[in-house]
Amino acid sequence: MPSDPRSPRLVPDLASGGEKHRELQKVNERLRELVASLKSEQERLAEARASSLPTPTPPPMAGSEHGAIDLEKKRLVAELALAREAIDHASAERERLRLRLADIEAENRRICDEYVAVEEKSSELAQLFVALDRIHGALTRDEVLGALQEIVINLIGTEELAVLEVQGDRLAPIHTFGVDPEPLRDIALGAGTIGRTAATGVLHLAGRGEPTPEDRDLTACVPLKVGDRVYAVLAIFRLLGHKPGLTEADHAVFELLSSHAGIALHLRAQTARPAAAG
Amino acid sequence: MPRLPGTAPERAATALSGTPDSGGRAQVYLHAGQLAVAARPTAITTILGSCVAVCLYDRSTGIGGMNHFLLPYHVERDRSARFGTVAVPALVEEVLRAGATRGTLVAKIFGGASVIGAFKTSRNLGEENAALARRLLEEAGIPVLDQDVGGTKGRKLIFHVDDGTAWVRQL
Amino acid sequence: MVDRKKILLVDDSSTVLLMERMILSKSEYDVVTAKDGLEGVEKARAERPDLILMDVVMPRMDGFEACRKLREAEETATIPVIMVTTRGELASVETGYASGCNDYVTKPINGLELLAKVRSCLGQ
Repeated sequence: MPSDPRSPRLVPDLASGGEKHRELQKVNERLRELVASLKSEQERLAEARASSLPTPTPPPMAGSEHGAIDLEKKRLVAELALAREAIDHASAERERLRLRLADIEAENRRICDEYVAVEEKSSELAQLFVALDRIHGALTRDEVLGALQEIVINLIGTEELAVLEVQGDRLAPIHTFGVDPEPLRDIALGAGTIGRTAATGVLHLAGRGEPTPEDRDLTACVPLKVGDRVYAVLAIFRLLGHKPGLTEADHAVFELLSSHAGIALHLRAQTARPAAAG
Repeated sequence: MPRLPGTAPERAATALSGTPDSGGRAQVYLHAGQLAVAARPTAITTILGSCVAVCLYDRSTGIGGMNHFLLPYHVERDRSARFGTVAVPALVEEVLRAGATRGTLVAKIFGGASVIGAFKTSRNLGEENAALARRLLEEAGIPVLDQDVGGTKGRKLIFHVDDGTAWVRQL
Repeated sequence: MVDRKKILLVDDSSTVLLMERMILSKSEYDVVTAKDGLEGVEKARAERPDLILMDVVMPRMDGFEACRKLREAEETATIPVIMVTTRGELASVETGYASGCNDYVTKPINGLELLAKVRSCLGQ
């Protein structure tokens, strides 16, 4: 049997789905063998039918011979009818199996897609768990800031970030990585994208609204809150070169940071060294 | 999906003789999961392990491009060029949009290595990636002129979109 | 008895180690960890893992150097190493291969991608 271009693709081998997939593969194999054997049977019958057809010009013969030939003809016609019936039956069976195979392939694809979707979801949840674990596992304010940096670098994919604390009506950088802290030294609440995020408490994502020239490298601005109050702002600048853009999973991490990182910083505020800026 | 048009000045393509000399072409480094298409002389470079890169070029116009995908089949919620089933049709679509002619498009396939090539089992990511590329190109009616796939080594690939020259070195 | 594969994770970031553990915990792997390249090489010799996931930028000994050390020693020369790098740029990846890595993934780690490569490397 020639290789079927619609042949089922491999489902990722996994502990739970692997068994089912292997079963499906076995069924597929058995069906293929059955189809192949039916095909060869059909070919055999077709050959039998061809060889049983009467020759075009029979030679003249005696009366008793005619009787014998008639009898033989009848036998052959009956055999031919049987053969045709068998062929029809085999064709119907083959069609049934073809449809069944298509069903199995579709099921195979569905299981594969479902598995992959579960896998992706599971990765997203893992990201959230890791972020939560790191933030709340930090014992001092510096450790929270370090954890925040690691989360942003390794889970979001950027090496340019800043955390700015709300101090009255101003914002001051308490941690920067990969960016010059100077332009961030003194931002008024409500000024620019960072100041606006601090004032409104609304997550800013690049591409939504027109960026001001000084904010054009900003990819996201996450308000880090304590309840409804914005405690600090996490500014994320350019993403890593191989990261094309933010994903839904990144948004989920931002939401988590928004509601947990602020609390963690607030709770450990007394552990801050007097001059922690920069 | 990032599309990186070539920015080099117009000039005649320089034929290579197995060397990675860029011949003054614009340089593009292609990260995994991205694709690049150029309508001007451009050298696209990438590094492949089990990933596969499909290179397309149209000899009538000198327009071409390359993808670099990691996994064969995309998922409903992520239709990025990290997956072959997205990256290959997207590359074809992008080169046609850039002005290439379907009838004169040809392809080359590279990558798909396997760390355990000598003891391969039923599932081999590199082979799956390469097989998918071949199948999708066949379905699209694009002939594959050349391929260097499989094996156990990574590859550095430089592709000149304007004349279809590909330079591959095993790493 | 299923043959449980052992994977060594080498990274100085607790965040990455935890993330890798979480992703790999979905399959039946024994996981050991090391916090830098030097410890990674020592653990590789002692534990003889089936696969190593190696970060690049680490204190004491970076991932490239660790990989070269692994390849130099007979007992660790053939252990597959997947480089896990923040830097997907040409020079960095090329250096990784030159140091003896077999494949690479970029950070942030994508669960699907990492699992697919790990399983492929382990022949699963």
